[in-house]
Amino acid sequence: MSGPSLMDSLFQRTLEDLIKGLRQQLIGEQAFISKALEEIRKEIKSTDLSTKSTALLKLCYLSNLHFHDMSFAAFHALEVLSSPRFSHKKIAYHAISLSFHDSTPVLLLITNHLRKDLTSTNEFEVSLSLQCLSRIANVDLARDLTPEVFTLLSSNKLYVRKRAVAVVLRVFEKYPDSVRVCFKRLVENLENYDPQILSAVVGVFSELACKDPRSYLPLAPEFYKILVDSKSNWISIKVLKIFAKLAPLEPRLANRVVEPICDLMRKTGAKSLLFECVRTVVTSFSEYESAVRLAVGKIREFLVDEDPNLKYLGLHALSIVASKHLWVVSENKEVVIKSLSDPDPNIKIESLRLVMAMVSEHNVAEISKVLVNYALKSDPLFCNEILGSILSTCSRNVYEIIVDFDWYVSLLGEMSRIPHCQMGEEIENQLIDIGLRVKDVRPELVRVARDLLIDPALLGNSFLHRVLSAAAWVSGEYVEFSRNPLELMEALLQPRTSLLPPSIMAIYIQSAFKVLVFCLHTCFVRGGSTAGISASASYESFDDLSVENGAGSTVAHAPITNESIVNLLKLVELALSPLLGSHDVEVQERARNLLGFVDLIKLEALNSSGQEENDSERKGVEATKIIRLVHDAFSKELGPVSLSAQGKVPVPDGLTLNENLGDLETICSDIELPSSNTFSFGYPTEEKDVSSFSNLQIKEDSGQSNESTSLLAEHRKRHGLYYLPSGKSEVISNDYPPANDPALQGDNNNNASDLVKLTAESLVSKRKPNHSKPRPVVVKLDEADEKPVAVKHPESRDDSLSGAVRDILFGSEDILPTSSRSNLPNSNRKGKEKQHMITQVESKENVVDDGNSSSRRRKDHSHGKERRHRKKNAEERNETDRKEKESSSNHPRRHKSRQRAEEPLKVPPQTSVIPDFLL
Amino acid sequence: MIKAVMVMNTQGKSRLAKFYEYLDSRLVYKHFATLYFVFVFDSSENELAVLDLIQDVLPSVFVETLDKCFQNVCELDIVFNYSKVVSSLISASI
Repeated sequence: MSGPSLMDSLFQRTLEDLIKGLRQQLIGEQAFISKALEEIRKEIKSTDLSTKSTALLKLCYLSNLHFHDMSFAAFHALEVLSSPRFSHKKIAYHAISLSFHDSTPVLLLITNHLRKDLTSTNEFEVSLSLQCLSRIANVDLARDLTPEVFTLLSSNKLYVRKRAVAVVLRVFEKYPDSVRVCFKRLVENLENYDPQILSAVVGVFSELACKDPRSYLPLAPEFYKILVDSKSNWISIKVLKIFAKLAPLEPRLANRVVEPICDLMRKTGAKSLLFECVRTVVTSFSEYESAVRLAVGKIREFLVDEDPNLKYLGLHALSIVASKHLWVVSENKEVVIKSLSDPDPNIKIESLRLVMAMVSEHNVAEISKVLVNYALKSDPLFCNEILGSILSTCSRNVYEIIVDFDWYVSLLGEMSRIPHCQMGEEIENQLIDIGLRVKDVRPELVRVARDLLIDPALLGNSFLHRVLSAAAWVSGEYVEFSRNPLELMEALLQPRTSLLPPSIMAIYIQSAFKVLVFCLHTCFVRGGSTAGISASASYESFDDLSVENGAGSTVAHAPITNESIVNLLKLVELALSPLLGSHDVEVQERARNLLGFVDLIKLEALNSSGQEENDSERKGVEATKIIRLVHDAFSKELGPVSLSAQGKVPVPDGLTLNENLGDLETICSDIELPSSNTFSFGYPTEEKDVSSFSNLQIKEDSGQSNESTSLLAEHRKRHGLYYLPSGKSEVISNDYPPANDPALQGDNNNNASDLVKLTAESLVSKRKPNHSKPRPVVVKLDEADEKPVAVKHPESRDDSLSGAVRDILFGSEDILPTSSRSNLPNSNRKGKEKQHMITQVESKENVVDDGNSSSRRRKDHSHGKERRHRKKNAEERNETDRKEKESSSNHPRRHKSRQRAEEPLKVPPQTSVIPDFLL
Repeated sequence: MIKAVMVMNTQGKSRLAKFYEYLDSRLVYKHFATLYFVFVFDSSENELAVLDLIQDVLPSVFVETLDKCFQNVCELDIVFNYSKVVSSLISASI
């Protein structure tokens, strides 16, 4: 674009032209806007104020609606501000409110302008500047302009006073000391009859009270009066909100206020006010049975109303009630469940939350069934919401509400199969978690896992991959509970597993390894000699199940004959040979491991087909030994290591962690690093006693296991302290008898003893293991209980604000150390001490009673003295207050002017002693 | 406290956006002809009250004011007379 033509420069485009041009879209929006911006930049530098202001206006528009930065115009805005014309001022102020922020450099220059306008006689100018101030005020501005605001708070013009009150909020926030100046007037405005002013003041107080209710407790009588007298719904709502915050702090206040609130509830026709009353009651007055009942009745009306807005609000209120009075929710159960199928998604979610709130040990099964049915019928989003909430509720507090884990585990399996399910990760976590923690459910877990693994269709569903990986791990780890390991092997090695991502394939391979070892062990080494599976057991039929009681109940397996072993080995080779060249390191490594192992024992195993099982000489000592070793390695449970264990390890002397590892080459080149799979071998500690390590045997024979196991053992020796004891992960409270699976006939025999065992276990406190397993796909079992530390930063400012407010309301004092501090979060400010509220209250009352200002200056108050004093005053108060609640509350305020803070103080919220104004 | 007021048309193109802060908690909107008036506010406001605000106060105060400015205000007027709309919104909100 060439420079502006003469035509262009003669006639400045107005905002209308700009908008028209924009809408016409002749040259495209961006191009038009950049052209316009260019023009604006030129125009805004002109000396003519009208041109400037039009340019500014256009800039505002562009900035507001099209998000352009207008900070370059800051100074120009100021120039326009100095114009005498009102329209210019308006535009300038508008621009300023939009674009100025704390770091605008010219902010300092605006003070004088504002001051001039604030003191102007034209009320509109005053209001403009007030409006602007409320948007951009920072500490300096607030501080400098406080006197002007103070004057305006008592201005005659309603228009101005309203805005001044509104500004006060921002000024207080930025510059708390202004409270000392302005608060009195603000409170005076509470008594103003004009509804606009009143609503402004009440609005300000409701904002202030939300942040720090305690400071405003003394004003409760005024609020009470407003509540009772008010005609305006808006004001009543605000006052109710204030009371909602105040009431929990002061039970006597609550007592007084409950009645009027209930009255309001009964009488009002406005739904908004009604809802606010209901909300206030259920939030802060939940101890008052009759009030709650009344509120609940009203909630029911909301719930059955046609208007979805009201339904939603009803559900919302119900969920607030639910936290304290669960019976309410059960009463309205049908409505809640019906709302689950409401077209409005917000309503659905609220009702889901309510249903979850109703869940307890007894009904968790039915509710889950109902919910899963709903999930099947719903859209994906809601379906996942449902599943997510079921999962999180059931897993809360280490599965506190689950009594029947077998059912829960099968539910998890079922959930995985729901078409829209995207909660794969959570299900995976829980499957593994439960497997680790709940020993008795492992058979069921393995069954569920088997079902998942066998189904080839599931392999194609990418959402389910995580679940499948959990299933694979579970079946590998607890293979001894499986009924048909051969089937498992086939499932793990099926060709469709190539659809899985490499990390999960690696898990599959490793699990296949474990299952293989188990089969080999059962067939060759055990030779059917243990666990009631005799030598001939391997030829027994599948249906004959014998269960071992006591430690490690095993399920009888499908016959594991020598032929089946041979077939198995062939299958392994077939399935894994293509993976030997896989690009993924993990997969390749594990495949090689497994095939290597197979190679080692293949010869003997094949040779021994058809031979007697106990013929160890024929089988070759080597193979048996290997099998035995590997099996033992796999069968020891590795306990999780705590996340913080690494942090607890003291850095050994002479080790500099940040050193460049370049030297490692020279040091380590001659050490042969063991292959990765051997890291899964390990020895759990029996206790934290380090000396027990020397008792653990370190197997020398197997070349595979030697190095890593010794390394690991070494490590444990040194840092055994940080390994959690082994028995832990098995401890969980299960109050249930073993699953009465009709196929597992044997279980029934031992219900009694199992029950006893279980009850005993249930009395032991639950363990919370938290660590990841030594596997590539790390499943975090962390109960990372990082409760978000409530950030208390905003309180620092509020504190000074509340400090200032308290000074005004209670009488300011010197810094006092106190003996009794209530344990509230912001009570640990360094450096400054806080005043004792009791002293303040006392001093206030003292002012009334004996005008003794010296009593205010006391520094060392013993607690007992205060209490006596307080009681005395309270009694006196009681008598005088009965009739003249109003006037007595006025007394302290009249004396407020006598109270001046010595220095800015930070006042802590103490256990409050509220003057008994209301009694 | 009301955090934001937005006015947008059916394509989501914003006609007016006054954000008082960028924090959103709850949102109430109401459909008037082709315009949606959206109010964003925090927990210190009652939702129904804000809805009332939009339903009753807004038409009566705000729209009336605009009517006075423009005689029978329609969307285009809001589009074209941005500054007046903003100032009347500010006055109405007090």
